[in-house]
Amino acid sequence: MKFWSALKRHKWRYLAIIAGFALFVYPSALLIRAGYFLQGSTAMPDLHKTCFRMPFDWIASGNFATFDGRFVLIGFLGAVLGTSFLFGPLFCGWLCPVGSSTELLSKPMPNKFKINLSRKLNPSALRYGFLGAFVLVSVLAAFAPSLGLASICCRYCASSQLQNLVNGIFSPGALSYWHSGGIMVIGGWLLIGGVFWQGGRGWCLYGCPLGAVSNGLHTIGSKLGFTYKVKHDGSNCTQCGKCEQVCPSWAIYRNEDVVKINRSTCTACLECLKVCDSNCYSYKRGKV
Amino acid sequence: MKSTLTTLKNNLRQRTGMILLFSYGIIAGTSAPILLSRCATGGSSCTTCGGACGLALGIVPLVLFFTTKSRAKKVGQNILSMVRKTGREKVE
Repeated sequence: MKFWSALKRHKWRYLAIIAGFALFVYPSALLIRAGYFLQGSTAMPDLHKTCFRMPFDWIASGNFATFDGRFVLIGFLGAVLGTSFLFGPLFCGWLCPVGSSTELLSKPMPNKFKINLSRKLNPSALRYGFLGAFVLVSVLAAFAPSLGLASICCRYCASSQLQNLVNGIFSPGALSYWHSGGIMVIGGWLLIGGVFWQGGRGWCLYGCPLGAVSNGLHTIGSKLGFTYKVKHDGSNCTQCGKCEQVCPSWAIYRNEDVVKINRSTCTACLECLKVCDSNCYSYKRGKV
Repeated sequence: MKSTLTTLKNNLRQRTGMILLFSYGIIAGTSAPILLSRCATGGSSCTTCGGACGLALGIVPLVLFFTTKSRAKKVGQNILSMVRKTGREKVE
């Protein structure tokens, strides 16, 4: 019942999530397909083409200008990071097929079976640590190819795992993937960080490098007056705690009865705006 | 004075925790793929276990530790109180 009421309450967001799948995930991958078509490329458009690690490889090999999909990737990263700075990480909250799939999967699961480490394990510190590791491994993979790290990075990438799962459904040739141990990694991302995770965004909170950069930019952007951000006005707040429960990215917390928003995890999903009966939340410009 | 000291202590604890978690992220995130690449160059492919060693080095042990910590603490306290209780009963 809660699941259906949540879907009804935020129908535009869930429609955007479906659009995210259609825009980025093979076999449709409409946005990437359009970009490749404009570029005159015949490469298969899928979620892998938005890989954040690729520019390291291009720079290391010294032929940046000849790579297929460079405009698509640069355009995608520019749009995601630009909107994160100006409007908050809207891609993460509204379009990302990786985070939204686990979030949706976690909704029907009762809360008593879910892991909630919001007050125990600081997501900000750990995710920026993993981001540092991601950059380090990307540099090593690009500049020291003898280590053989390039293909291994995909094993840790939830985007890659999602695309492989979908490939397994749509093309019989990729079915061998289902029998491989890759399912264990998917289990970690989809089950521990998804179905059995409060909010269903375990990967986003701790592992996603793009999310970490987006939130870093949002943290900086939110300090400026002309950028959009979620704001909380405590004057009408009844301390009901609904917003804290509904936030999928554990960004809302109370410190001595004062509601605070952690910009380094907020995905601008605007669930808090919908759930608050006292209209304490708003999404607008201005300083916090 | 006492409250200032407590605040300082809390801040220091928070900062240390953040530095430790950040370092853990860098070390675990870097070492897992490097270990896995060594495994792959050694002959076995990463598809055989799907990077399970990476999972073991990454976030999973931390999550397990933090989820079981408070429960383990409670169970430990219960056992201790039971032991104390039976000890007292024996003395009486």
